[in-house]
Amino acid sequence: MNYDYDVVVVGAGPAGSMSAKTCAENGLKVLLIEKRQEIGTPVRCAEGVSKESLEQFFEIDKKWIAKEVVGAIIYTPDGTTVRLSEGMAGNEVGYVLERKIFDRAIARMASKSGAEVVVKTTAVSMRREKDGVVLGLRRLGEYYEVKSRIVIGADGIESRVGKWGGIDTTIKISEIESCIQYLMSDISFDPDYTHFWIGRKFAPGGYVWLFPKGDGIANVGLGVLPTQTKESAKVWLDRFVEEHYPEGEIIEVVAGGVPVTGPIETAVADNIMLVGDAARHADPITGGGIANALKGGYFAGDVASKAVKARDYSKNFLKRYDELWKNDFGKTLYRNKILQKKFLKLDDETFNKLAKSIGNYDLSEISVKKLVVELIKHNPKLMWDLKDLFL
Amino acid sequence: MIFKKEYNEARNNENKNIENDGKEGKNGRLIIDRYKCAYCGACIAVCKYDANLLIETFVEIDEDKCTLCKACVRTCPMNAIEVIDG
Repeated sequence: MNYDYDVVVVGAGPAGSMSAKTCAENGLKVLLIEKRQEIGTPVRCAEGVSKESLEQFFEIDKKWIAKEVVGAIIYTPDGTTVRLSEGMAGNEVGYVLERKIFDRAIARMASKSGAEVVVKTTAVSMRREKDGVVLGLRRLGEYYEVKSRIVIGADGIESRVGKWGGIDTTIKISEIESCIQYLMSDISFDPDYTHFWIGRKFAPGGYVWLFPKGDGIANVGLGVLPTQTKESAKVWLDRFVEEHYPEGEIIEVVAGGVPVTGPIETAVADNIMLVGDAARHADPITGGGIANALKGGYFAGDVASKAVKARDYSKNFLKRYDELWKNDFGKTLYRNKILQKKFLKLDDETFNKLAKSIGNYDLSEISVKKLVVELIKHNPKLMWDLKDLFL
Repeated sequence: MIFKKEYNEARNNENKNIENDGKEGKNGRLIIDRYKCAYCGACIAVCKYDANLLIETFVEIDEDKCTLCKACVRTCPMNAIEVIDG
């Protein structure tokens, strides 16, 4: 078979562009397609990411960053607060991105490295042929086919590449956070921190976030588990905003679903790899996905390059990608899935109690592990069965 | 893997909140309010019957495949999907 490309990447979010960039840097012939007419819009995300996870891959361009924050403040239903420094707060705290700029920047890096990029182009079908894949594309209403050795599905929560490739990624309604966010201006908050409200009172099965994008302007949003409430995410957010920021103006509305399945069994099939939300790589506790999207994209790009070199695009070879992500952030996905289920059982009073029990510690000086150890010590009944996860 | 049992328990939750698994007939059909829809794709992810599709900025429903399980209705952040008669 004559191949048009070594790799076609479906979807130009951070995971897809990172995959394409990595493949192109390794000399592969790459096509990166995006179904939207613009890369980076509409955003589906709260835009928080840790400094470390960006710096691992890029020289940071200040234009990507809307705001830097130094930590996180968590509010429980009775108003108890817990303050976390940046290093503790995890993968989603540090930078608040301007995704519209950031996503385009990575796509541009991919293009500079030699990848071909097309927008307003949707993958509509896929079939295997001999050693490769024939991908049907529709661009501005016109159907055409391309032949590729490998397809990387970076096609988000609604991924079709996975389904076509025989990787079961259907999400149960107990494993998706239904999210909505407003970009709000003219509100007052401490702009040096991200803010989180936890408990059923605010968001059943999820939480409310506020990510500063500057002074007086912030992403205010929430996620709820559809199995935990009969009301839509929008109803919950409107209620929260009415109570906390009635003075604010809503200048943008963002919606999205975040997969909270924990690590899936495999993100590969013959000729296929999935990355980012398509691979359900979002964190089950925080819902954050950018850090894992970048890492996963890098891993997939790396394995694709090796596969092309070895002329082996079988599931068996591509499993190296599974090993890479599972041994890296897969461990955290696994642990946090168990922890998430545990948290779902806690009522608001328990959150208040937990927060009060650790309220006296300066959390800038202790580790996550210590934090959990403290929680176990103060709340043995609640947390005891989790001790082996952390000790 | 440690905690295999806990992990399996965490993931082993039946889709018990969906209303019709396709074995029964259905009454009515789904409609999407395009003025409410923010084309986020959440409804596509939860459809186990592969009965909907996000085409750039609008969702299409394949009525032959849809069983009216309402997983998408429950999931939609914008409350943009409802079931109507006929």
